[in-house]
Amino acid sequence: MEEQQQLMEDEIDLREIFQILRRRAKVIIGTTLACAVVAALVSFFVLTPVYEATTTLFAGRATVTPENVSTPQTLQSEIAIAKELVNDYQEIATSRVVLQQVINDINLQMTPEELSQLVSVQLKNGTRIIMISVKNTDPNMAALMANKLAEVLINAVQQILNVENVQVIDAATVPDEPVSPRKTLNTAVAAVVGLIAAILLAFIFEYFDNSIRTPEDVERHLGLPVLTIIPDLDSEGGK
Amino acid sequence: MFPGPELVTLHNPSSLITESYRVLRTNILYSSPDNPLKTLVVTSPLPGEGKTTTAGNLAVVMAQGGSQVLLVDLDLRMPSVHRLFGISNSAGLTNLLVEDRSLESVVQKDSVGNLDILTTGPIPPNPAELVGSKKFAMFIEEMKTVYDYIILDSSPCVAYTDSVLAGRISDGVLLVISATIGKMDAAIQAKKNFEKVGAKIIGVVLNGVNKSHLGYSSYYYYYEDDEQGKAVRKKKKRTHGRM
Amino acid sequence: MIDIHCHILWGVDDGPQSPEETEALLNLAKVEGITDIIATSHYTPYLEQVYEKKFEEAASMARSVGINLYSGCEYKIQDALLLKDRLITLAGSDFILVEITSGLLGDFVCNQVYDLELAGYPVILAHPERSFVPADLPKLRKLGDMGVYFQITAGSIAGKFGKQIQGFAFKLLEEGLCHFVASDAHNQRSRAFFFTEARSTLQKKELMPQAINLLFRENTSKVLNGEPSIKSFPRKRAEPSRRKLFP
Repeated sequence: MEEQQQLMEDEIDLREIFQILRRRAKVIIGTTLACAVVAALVSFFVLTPVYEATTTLFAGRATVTPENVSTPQTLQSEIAIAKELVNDYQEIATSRVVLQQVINDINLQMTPEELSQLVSVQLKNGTRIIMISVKNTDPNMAALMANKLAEVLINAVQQILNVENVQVIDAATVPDEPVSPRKTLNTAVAAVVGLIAAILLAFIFEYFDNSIRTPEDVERHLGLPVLTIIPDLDSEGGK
Repeated sequence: MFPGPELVTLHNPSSLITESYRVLRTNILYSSPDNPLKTLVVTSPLPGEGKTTTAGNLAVVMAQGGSQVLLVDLDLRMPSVHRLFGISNSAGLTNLLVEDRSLESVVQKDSVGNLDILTTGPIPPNPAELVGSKKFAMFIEEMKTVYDYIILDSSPCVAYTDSVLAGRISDGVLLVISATIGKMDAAIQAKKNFEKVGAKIIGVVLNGVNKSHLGYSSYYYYYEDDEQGKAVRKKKKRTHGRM
Repeated sequence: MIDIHCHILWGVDDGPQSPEETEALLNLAKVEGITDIIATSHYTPYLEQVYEKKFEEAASMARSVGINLYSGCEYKIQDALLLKDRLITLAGSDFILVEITSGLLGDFVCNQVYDLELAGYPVILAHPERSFVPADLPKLRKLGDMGVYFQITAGSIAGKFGKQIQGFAFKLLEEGLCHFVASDAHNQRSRAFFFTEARSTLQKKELMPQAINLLFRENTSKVLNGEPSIKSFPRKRAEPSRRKLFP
């Protein structure tokens, strides 16, 4: 019997939570919308879009001749070797020498360190394919930089390793869409964060709320029975 | 006599609000079946929560129920019972207590019949003293032999001690709280004030409750046009929460 | 079947306003298979004045359709207490039909009900599923323990007043807080009899036929016959009730 009472009270608390949410619904919805709108505005109008262009390279043999055509056995070791080499290529691609070359060739106004922040060199797993990506606020520039870097890398590899091993598969095209800011993601995250914050705020307000609105308020916090309720039909004055 | 519009029980006996006062009357009578209640202090924590309106309407429905009722304006700081009933306040309780005037000379009869009203009379410089005086206590005792019920409309009880003093010598206290301007901490303080002197708060009247807080499920109440006995139905929507 | 709560008299409350409306309601009852109706209009001083005349008119109309009409009244509890010496009981029995409109269920209500019972009137509480909410269950149980009888509206069971009320009605049934199902019929549209629908709803919920019979026929016929022994609706026994170790 007491268990039922306990369950009853838990049920009441759930209903109370819904009541609180309903009462503060306007504030909660308003805050959530505001956060989402602010995030959207900032994403769409304030933040500078950043574009990324990618050049795809293949780090394998330059030419295939009857003598050096790969057999299944050799292919495995070739891949392993290539993997090692590719790590070298990664390092070379981001070396100061190479980057400086790129900067000189296309007259970039930045230091190699700054350029290296914009550059990302990645190896596609299980392949000998290298992707050189460069970020820039100007999409054309991004493409130009990516292709230039690829070009300089190929030359560098030739010079340093004396291999004609790297070649371009896909040159970088001018990207249409920026990779950042991620407008929808920002807005959604802001909305969720706003919602959580708003709900928390609502409960904080409730906790500090000193007003008396319902018979439950009276019975729960004052511990006195309510003997009648005079409804506010039109405007009943009080004195 | 020109009763004000707040006296719904007089002007509109079949309205929902009058019904609420009848419920109040019944619930007061049955709140403590062991100790019959004759003297009732009506007060509220803060001013303007509706205690005089409640006291007036309650007195009316009690009189309409057949009892002999005396409504006393015990708010010697801001009396308003006379305004509520549209009667004069040239003489009243203070004359009776200070000048030893007789009850008959100062009490006024209401149109309801069974309802006598004692306004404050001239406002004294020392309200708390008067309310706490032996003379007043004796006056109340005497009235209990004449009337079935004595309703004392008193000053707000957080700022002033009058109601608490009156509560001490009464059978019960009714706390009127406004759902629009009422404050919980004031109400809690009011409760403590009465507990300290051993006065019994029999319950709360919650005044001006917003319709959306009333939890009737498709509750149908009706108004009645007395002359024709026709009924007009008004439907309330179900909302969460309870009445 | 017997309907113990019906606003069939015309021109006295928010039920039918004309003889035609009463006639329509009676025909509807016939279709539903209702053979006996207790006329329980809302109490007003006006009703008291015109009762005999209004009842006779409606009763003769009912007779011509083959329905027996019995006298009764639906009192708000505060009015019932005032009129203890002259309450219109149901079908001449001791039972009275009482509604609590304020939605307040304090200890004072228990005292009020007790007062009525002491005066010799077993109390049937009208449509608790519409006057209260599930949060009031503990207090309703207390009233049940005191011997108050509960009348649930057929329309509530059939879902005519919404899902919340329907759910609450089922909950009351589960708790055994239901002794009668009645219509509280006021008009042919939104507040008709709904007996057939309610019965089928209960059947779908796999209520035993004996239980349904109890609510619609057995207990109600006891009211007509003035028998005091109303059977409780069987409570769903999940676990045995606990004994309190410490009083």
